[in-house]
Amino acid sequence: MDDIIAEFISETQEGLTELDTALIAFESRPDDRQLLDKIFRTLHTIKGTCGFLGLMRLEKVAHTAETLLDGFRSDGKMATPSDVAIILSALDQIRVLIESIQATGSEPEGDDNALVARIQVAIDRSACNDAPPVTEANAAGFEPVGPTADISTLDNPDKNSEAPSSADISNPGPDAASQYLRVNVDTLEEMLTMVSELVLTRNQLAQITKDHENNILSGPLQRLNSVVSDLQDSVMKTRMQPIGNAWVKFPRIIHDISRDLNKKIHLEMKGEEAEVDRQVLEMIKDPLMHMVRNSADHGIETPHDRISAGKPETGTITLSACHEGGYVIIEIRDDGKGISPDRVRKTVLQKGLATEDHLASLSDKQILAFIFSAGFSTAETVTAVSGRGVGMDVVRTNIEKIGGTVELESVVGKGSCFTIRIPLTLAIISALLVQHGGQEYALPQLTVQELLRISPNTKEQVEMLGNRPVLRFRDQILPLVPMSELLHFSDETSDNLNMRNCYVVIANLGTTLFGMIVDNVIGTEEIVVKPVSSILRGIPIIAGNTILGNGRVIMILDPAGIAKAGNIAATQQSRQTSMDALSSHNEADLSSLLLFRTNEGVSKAVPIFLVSRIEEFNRHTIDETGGKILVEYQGRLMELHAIDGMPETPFTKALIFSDDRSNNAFGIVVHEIEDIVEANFAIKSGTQRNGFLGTGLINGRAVDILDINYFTGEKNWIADEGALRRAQGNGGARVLIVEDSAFFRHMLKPLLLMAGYDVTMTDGPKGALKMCEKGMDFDLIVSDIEMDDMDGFAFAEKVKTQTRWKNIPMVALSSRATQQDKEKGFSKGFSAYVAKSDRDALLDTLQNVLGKTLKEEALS
Amino acid sequence: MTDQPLKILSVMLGGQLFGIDIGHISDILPRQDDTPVPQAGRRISGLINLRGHIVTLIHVRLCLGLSSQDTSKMNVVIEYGGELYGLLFDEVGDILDLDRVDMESVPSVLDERWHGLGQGVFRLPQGLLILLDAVKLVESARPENIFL
Repeated sequence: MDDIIAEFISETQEGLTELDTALIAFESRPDDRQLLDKIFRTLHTIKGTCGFLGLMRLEKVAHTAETLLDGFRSDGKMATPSDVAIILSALDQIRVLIESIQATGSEPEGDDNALVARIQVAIDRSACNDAPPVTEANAAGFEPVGPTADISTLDNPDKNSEAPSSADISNPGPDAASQYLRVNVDTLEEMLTMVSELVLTRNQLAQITKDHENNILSGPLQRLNSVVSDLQDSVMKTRMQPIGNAWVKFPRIIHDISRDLNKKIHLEMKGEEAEVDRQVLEMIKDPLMHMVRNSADHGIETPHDRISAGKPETGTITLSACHEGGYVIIEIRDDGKGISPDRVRKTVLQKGLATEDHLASLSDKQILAFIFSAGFSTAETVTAVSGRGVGMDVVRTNIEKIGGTVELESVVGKGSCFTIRIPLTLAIISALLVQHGGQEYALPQLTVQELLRISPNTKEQVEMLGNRPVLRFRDQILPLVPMSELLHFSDETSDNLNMRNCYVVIANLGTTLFGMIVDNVIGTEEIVVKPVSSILRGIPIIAGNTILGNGRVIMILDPAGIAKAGNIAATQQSRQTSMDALSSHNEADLSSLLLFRTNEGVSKAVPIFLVSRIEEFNRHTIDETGGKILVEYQGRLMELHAIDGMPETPFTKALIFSDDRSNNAFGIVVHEIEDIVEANFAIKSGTQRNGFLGTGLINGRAVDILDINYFTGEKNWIADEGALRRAQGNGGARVLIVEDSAFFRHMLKPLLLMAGYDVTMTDGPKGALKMCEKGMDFDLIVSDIEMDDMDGFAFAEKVKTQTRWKNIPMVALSSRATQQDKEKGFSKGFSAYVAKSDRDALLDTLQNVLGKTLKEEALS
Repeated sequence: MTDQPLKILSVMLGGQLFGIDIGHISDILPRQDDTPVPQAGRRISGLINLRGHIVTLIHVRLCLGLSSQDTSKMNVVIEYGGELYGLLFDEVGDILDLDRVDMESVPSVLDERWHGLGQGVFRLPQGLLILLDAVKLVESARPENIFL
């Protein structure tokens, strides 16, 4: 018999047994919504499987019964005992058909029209809301209707006598199970446990015999050793399966759907070899099937529609899997028609799943998420292929049960993409074992990007930026977390931080790159992640614990938790990250500031986004001529500004400010770099010192805030560069900056000047609108969002709808850059939305926006 | 229900007699080296492997506010919420059959922590036995309940 059919039979028999019990309970509790949903889903799964196996009779019976149940779900009407009886007789008929398939491999001849008609009567009656007479209910309940007519046509006459009876229900066919050995995951889990115990015992034995040389036990012990290791490997392996195992049915499903719906669909599968835990695989199998069916049914258009939409006739569904950042990520992507948020919104309202007010406050993505709600479907016609949206409900439930998430992204006309993330806690992972403070720890190998050995002879050295260790690593300043700080166990925190001889484990969290300082690296090992006991679950730096091959328990550390605990903010990566990565930073007016000291006075501060690099120069390479301090830097002479004189040290540190595009740069000599702080600051007036904006309070400390303008304002090269760019026609654009914070105005001006723009500043929308009235013109407007009298959104709306500036592109600049903010910004007329702290993103964006405008002008 | 005698494992800690209802107990072992848990606070001694299951060891003496000198040599493993926790005591004594009616409330003069974690007191020939609530004991070791 076909494997798939055999599996289907054994699954369906299990499902039928569950359904019987559930339906009996439902009869007495017809208002139990959860129970109804459960019955509905089980029946739906059976129906779905019949569909693709081409079992038409089964499918018809199951579909009709499901339709009857759906009536109770959507109308909220109570099922009567006669309804339940009819569904039970449908189940009985399904069982009869299954038995026939089991015996002969195919459905018996004949049809189930009588039964289907009876169910249809019940559907109509339930729709009319007529309470059925009791006598009819009894008749329906006790008279075996459809089945008797059909049974006579069965190939196996023995089954005839076993007309649907209660005895039959509890005793599904015996043959299906014997062909397949289905091992309970608990059994495997138990085996794993016992193997670990065996390993422990072996180790103890080895320990005892080690002290006795020429021991008669050493030979057998060695054999025991290798057998135990092999056994351990085998048991571990039994839990792992390539994810492709869950996909084997899909090509067939897609094939059948294509045929049934007259569509052309190509199924592409990538990463089938990615191994997942058996348990995980079991849990995601059905959800994945539902999603693939949905994509084929609702996503991909008919060839005709595709051609008229300018797409290739054949639609593509791409299924891919990979391990990433401690998760197994599965994507189901189609290039179909996409899901329209408006249609979802409409359906949500129609079905009363949310109020209009509530929907208004949601982003498109949040609205799309409604398709995962129970009883939701956007399909205008109910089809046998993917039914009534019940699938997405099951999908979410099953995935969340194993601690995963599912997300939907969709672009109307372009397609949809479901992303499933399943945490590794159920899986076996490859871990890097490190040692620190005499203890071993495991780090998920997936987040580890690189390992660096640090010793007094290596090029890389751990340096201190204030009280924070950093590593200069490939032109970057990599923040480091000394693990001693995080791993202390008691009050006696030993300060044995040895940063000269250590290892740095560089972890990549996608948006954040940072290093962890550890004493030693031991190696890698495959480990089974076990959750820590519930009282320890609140500790953020711990991802789990595990038992190593040698029987010892070790902690699995969570790099993301460590980054957080070590105050590693994603913004420190701002030069590498995209706007999206920064969107998590939504506290208004928080800035990352670099604190440093010069020869004299209080600490100084400068926003870190203005600083390109921190460099160290040998005193010999620095020339002091004609009142200028010059140093060769990247093949050019660069001027250094020593605010309070040069420090008397053989090496001089300097903050480099540069416009990377033109290679122009200058440096500010610093004595010592103190810290990087994320702070709210306020400039207090009073200081009139050249080169400073004033004194600010940062975390309660007074610091002088550097005015970059002062150092760049008179520099000829800036003007020259600007002129050069204007001459080339790609720069010198007139940019208006609308920004109420004096601090940011001062900071942005030099940045844009250096990039060759002609910069005009105003402190708010009012000033800007006055300029508009006066007849001033600009090529681009950069506006802050959070401003007092009129916010950036209102300003943009006004500019775009009521002024002659309506064709000037506008860029929003905000410390709040969530997806929602961005969407709002775009709807008000902004062409781009940039996070305040991202210097390069701002320059790139300005260039792009201006470039696009120029192109459009050229075209028109 | 109340007529049924209580089966109590007597244990010694800091010279005081305590008791644990044996209904909770799954194992009694000599103490072994454990793996410390970072940031878990002092009341968590660490983790051990017990036949493939991870057991979280709890310093009962610190939960009870006894002297911090660690003299515990025995580990009484209990099951709570499907997980295993090891309670560390100095010594383990006999299993006693005690009558519930003989249980008195914890005297008010005792330490506040003993009130919270003690279910009651029995007067025995060998001295006062304080019956500890194993579940509350485990909960009291939860890191957020501790000032590190």
